[in-house]
Amino acid sequence: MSTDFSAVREDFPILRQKVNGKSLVYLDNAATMQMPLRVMEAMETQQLSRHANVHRGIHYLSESSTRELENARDALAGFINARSSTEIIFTSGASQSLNMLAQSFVSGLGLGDEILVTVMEHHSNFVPWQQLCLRTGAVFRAVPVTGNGELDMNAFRAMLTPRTRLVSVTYVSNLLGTVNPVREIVRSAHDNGSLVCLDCAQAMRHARLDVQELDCDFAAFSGHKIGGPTGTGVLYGRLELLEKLPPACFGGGMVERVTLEGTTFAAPPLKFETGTPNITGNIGLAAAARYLDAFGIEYIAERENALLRRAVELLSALPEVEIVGHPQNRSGVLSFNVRCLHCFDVASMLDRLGIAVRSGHHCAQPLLDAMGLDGTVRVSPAFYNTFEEIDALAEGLERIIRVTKGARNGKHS
Amino acid sequence: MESILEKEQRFIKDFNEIGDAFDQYAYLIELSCLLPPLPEELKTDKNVVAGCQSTVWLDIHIDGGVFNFASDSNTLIIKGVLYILQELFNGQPAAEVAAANLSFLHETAIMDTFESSRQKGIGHVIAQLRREAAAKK
Repeated sequence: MSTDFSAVREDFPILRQKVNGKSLVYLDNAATMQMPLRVMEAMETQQLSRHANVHRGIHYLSESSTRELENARDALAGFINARSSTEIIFTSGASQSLNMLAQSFVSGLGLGDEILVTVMEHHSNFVPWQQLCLRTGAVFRAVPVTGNGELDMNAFRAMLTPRTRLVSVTYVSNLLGTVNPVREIVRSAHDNGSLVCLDCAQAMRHARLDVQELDCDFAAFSGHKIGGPTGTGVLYGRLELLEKLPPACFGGGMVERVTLEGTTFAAPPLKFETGTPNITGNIGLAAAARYLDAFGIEYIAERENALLRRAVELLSALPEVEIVGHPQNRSGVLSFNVRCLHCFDVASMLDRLGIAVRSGHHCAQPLLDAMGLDGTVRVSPAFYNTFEEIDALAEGLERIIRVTKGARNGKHS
Repeated sequence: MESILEKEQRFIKDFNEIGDAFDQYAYLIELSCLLPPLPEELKTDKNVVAGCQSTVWLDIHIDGGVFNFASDSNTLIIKGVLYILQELFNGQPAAEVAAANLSFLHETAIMDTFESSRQKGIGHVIAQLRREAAAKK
């Protein structure tokens, strides 16, 4: 395990480039983290020397690909401390993980059953449950947030009822960076007899995800937010639940026996993996997990938190900048607006300075509505960012504030 | 009177002389300051251009074949572009506006500033101006 980040940028050649004639400052890591060379190498090796279909081949390449894919599954099980690899379902990302889980609940939900999410969810952990409820007659409920941008835990406890079948909640808010008290949420939900799913898409670099210690029933995350390729992700499920849940999609690879009369399904996790999987991508995802593990997630989190604290400190000192949300425990992202400027103007001008941030609703419209906003600028450092880059962000904002002074004050000729 | 395309060529030349990408953007922001404010009562749903990611209001008047419009947006950069369009189109014969095939967005780096959804949105604004000019020329 190492805490030395001094050479880390050598693993990410993409960061060396110039954008608009300026050194690239990539601060959009909550959307997608850059991919280290080691992940690309793992994928290249797979493509160059093993590429073939998996699980039913009896030739060398197929056996070799199958072994690598299952090694990847084992590595990811270890990465989140699942009890066994059978609890790891490969998906195309957290969105598909959550949609698949929601689909699997269709037949088990009845009129008046309740699904509890929060106002803080990414649309991917909001819309699938909302639509599930519309289709099944179940009741869709969302826990509100406080003015600081934290979950209203009193409301949460009050909203748990004997009919609450599932609580699905984000570990870390993708808009505000709020770290939710997931242990307490899991405990309260379980005491109530409800299942719990954690959307961990934004949490994977914040803390080691230990599904046994957290005691969650399901968890979802995306590969591209931890240095893996896009189009990869995981749905974790407790094995005894995966055995009972019906599959959401049907086809090749997930069956045991198909006859004219009916079909029996393979055991988890294959029951949930229809068709040829993203073999190379999943191998890349496991390589990304190994890469982060080599540093130690706790050291990665410590560095990212220090970078974020510097951003909070510097941006708080700019009177025209309004930081959105003031959670006690913030991780990964910082949202803000510049007074009298649209978030799009700010992000576009930062881009002219080579600084990559995100602007808009961040797929979190219910939370923005609750805060009375229609968008924010969001910065999200990763461990390979430097303190100098955070300084460059603050200097860029100062420059934007200076050149837009007249426009912001509504100056007209 | 200077034609729409003559004015446009002058603008393209001036704009491209600003070498730095940030300064070009800052110039557009400065232009946004010159856009006269649109009265709140004209910011109606009817005046909103459909298909724009930023909100854009257009209030178009054609009297005696002469084209004029007032406009506003919730983003400064779009206001800057609207100011340029007002400079090019206002006071011109509607027939000329309808026929004007503008190229300044592509002959400068302005279009690069917008991601594809906003590029389409600006296209909708220009298309609507020309459509209304064609309808009443």
